[in-house]
Amino acid sequence: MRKMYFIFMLCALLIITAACGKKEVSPRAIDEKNDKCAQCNMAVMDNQFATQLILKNGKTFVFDDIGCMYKWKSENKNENIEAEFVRDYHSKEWVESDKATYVYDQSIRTPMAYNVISFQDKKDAEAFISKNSGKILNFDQLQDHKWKMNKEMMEKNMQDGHTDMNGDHSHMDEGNDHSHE
Amino acid sequence: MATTATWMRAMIIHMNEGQIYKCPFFTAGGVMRNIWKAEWRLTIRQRSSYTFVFLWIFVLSLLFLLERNNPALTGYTNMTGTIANIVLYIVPLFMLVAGSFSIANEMENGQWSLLCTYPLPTIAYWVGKLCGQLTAQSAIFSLSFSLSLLVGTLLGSSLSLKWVLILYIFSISLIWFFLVIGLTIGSFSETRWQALILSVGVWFFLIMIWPTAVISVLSFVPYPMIAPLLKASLFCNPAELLRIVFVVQLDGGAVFGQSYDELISFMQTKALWVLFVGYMFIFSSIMLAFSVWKLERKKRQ
Amino acid sequence: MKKLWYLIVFLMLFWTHPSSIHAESTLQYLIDQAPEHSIVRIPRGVYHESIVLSKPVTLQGNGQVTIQSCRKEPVISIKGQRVSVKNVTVIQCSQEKNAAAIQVSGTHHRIEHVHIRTKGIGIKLEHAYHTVITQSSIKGEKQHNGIDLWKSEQNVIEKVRIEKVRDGIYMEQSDYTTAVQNLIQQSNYGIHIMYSDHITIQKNISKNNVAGAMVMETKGGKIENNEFIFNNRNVHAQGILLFDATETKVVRNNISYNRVGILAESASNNLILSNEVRGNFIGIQFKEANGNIVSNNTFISNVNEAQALSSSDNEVKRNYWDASLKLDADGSGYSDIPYKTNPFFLSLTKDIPEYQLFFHSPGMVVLQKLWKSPDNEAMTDDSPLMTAKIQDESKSSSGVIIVFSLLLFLGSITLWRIGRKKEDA
Repeated sequence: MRKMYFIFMLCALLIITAACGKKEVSPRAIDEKNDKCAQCNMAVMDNQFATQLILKNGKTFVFDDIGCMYKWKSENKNENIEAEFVRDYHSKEWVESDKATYVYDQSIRTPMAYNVISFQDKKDAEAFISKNSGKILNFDQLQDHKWKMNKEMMEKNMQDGHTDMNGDHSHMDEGNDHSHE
Repeated sequence: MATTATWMRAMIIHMNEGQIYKCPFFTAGGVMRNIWKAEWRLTIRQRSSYTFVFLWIFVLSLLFLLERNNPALTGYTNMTGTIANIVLYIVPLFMLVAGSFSIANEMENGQWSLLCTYPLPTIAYWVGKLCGQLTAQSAIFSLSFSLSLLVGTLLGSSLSLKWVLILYIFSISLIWFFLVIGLTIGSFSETRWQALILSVGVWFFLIMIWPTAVISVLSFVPYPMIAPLLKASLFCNPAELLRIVFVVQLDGGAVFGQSYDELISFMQTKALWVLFVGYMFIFSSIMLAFSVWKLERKKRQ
Repeated sequence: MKKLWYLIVFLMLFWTHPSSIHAESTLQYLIDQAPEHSIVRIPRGVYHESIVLSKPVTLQGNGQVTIQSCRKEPVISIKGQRVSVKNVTVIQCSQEKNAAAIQVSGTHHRIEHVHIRTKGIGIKLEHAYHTVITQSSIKGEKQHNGIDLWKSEQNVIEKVRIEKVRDGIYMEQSDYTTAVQNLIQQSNYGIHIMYSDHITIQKNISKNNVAGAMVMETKGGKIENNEFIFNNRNVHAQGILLFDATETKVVRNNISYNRVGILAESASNNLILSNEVRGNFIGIQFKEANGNIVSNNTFISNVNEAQALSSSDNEVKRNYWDASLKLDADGSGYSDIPYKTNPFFLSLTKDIPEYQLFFHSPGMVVLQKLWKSPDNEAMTDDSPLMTAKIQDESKSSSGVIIVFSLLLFLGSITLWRIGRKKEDA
């Protein structure tokens, strides 16, 4: 009798694990209280800069900046990545990273100053650029992007950056406010 | 042998009152009380309990005195962790042995078969044993605890009341859980030798190789299952659960990391104590059920 | 179209009404009238407006002066140079994000005895230089930073009490910032340094935060004589984090009762000297941090003193470790037995952080023997100090404990006596 029960439990466990295995990968919500960036240790805010990476074994990592995610990937090349998600700059919805359009500009403030933001729609990205400045990158171009925390460059271009910042303050404010939300 | 006689006399006096057949419920309670008292006396009178007292006073005083080098001990520090670990090493082992011997002894010397001739409810026997052991062991521990606390405080260790209370409750709960397990082991063994081997085995498994065992089992499990299974595993090992509750009560819960934040937050609320008492009850009932099932089988043989 | 008309009429009412009638009594009017380098004294009272100070004047409250605004604009905007604000209470009640109580740009300003309550940022410095903020306080609602510096240099923040904000003092690309004798508590990060070089952090107290100080992407800073204490509530809490920090001096700080005392990750060429690291869950943790000097620190009462992963190349010497085996044969004051920290727990929890549940579990002794952790990765102190250099803290009263232990003694001895009694008595 007890053996039967044991076998039953084992089967149940197996079924549960199997079911878990088949489940489609979907990004989890950001937990502002406890999530920290796997790369830079900073708290991850539930904002447009958050990204997420899911390994084949189901482990998830969250990052506070797209740059942090790419830095992590370059330092952990042998991890098996199942999926990666970035956020739409406006709606803050998760977007699969290869379907997103990216904008890079030194005047964009992101949490770790990698200065890249992501959009679900290419149109939104173009609209952002026409309103501000910047360069559109698609997913493939992003792979070749030189991830630099552009402090030195920004200082050299301080004057440009400065006028840029004030040029469209209303818009930049969103990006401006990285460490709070 | 004198104590056995005491035991039997208590039983027989009770039988002679002749209430067994009239009011079984009340009588079961009465039998239980007698076993309780007898077990309590038996344990206190054993020479080994004095050894325990001296051992405890020695160990605890030493630990409290070590604290003298540190400022007010309030939170989860090195010394706190060490004291908790030493309690975790010693209490479960002794309680397992004490609990299992209290039944195995009677199996071995024939007292059990004698008892079987009386219409004695097995539950009352087991619960009575537990209560008796619990009273005696708590008395032994409390005596040593209070004495070493006095020594420590008078010699200049500064301890906070909250800290002392938490440590005390932690130890008493450990005594409870491991007596329950010990009595169950006793019910399953025929001789004291067997009881000793089983007790040491269980102690070794639950205290010494628990992390190793859990981790090696979990290495076969897909990653997302690890956190829930680890949480579940806490409830399979009272020592581990008590340790976590202890650390959380000392405001050290954050050390266990992100996966347990909800559990830890819960443990910081009052609701913890409801769960805790519930868990104590359920755990003990399960152990009781196992023991009674086994003892009943033995009775029939 | 109709809506637009309503809006215009409404706006006209709103804007023209106060300016036509009350213009003379507004602070802004007073300020605009004042000559440069003069002192504008504000009579006691509550002022519902936001003001702009763009020429060198001193704004000084006489008695209890409160300036309050619920608009997105800063309650006080400071521009140009040599503006001083003294003795006022500023309330920013706008819910809009990025609303600041005080916004500063320009040079040589001074904010003194200013008390801020804000739903947004406390004081925001953008392109501000040589500004001094002193003897002030900021109380927020945990949503935004207390003092936020962005591309601002040579500013001094001293004796400011900051509570319930996101980051107490946040500086990004703000070199040569000085923070002295501030108190920051119940916030996210006490002091958060990003891409700012040559900063000076002295004699601050940062307690009950998620992190005492986050020192990130910085070079050539000085962090001295601070207290980073009781930062232990959050699951990622720490006293001080050095992330990608270089040539930073962390000297004589009291780093106690945190979740992790000092966490250094990818940090190099830093000096960690003479700190007192006490009662943390983990004293010091190194991850891929090399080329640092860790010396003359005192590690006491930490549940786990030190953990290091991929950090073997540091100069760790002459620290006091209360857990180390000490033997001084030649009387040098230093132990002959090296103290080796174990990377075991870090390497165990690196891939599966869930195993942190076994932190300091009694069974870890066995697992540690079985676990193969790379030996050369550990951090080793070759000559640990024999005696600690610490000052004694005050001890708590022991009366309650004595009463408690006596009661417990009486209780248990009674149980004992009952057990010893003749059964028929």
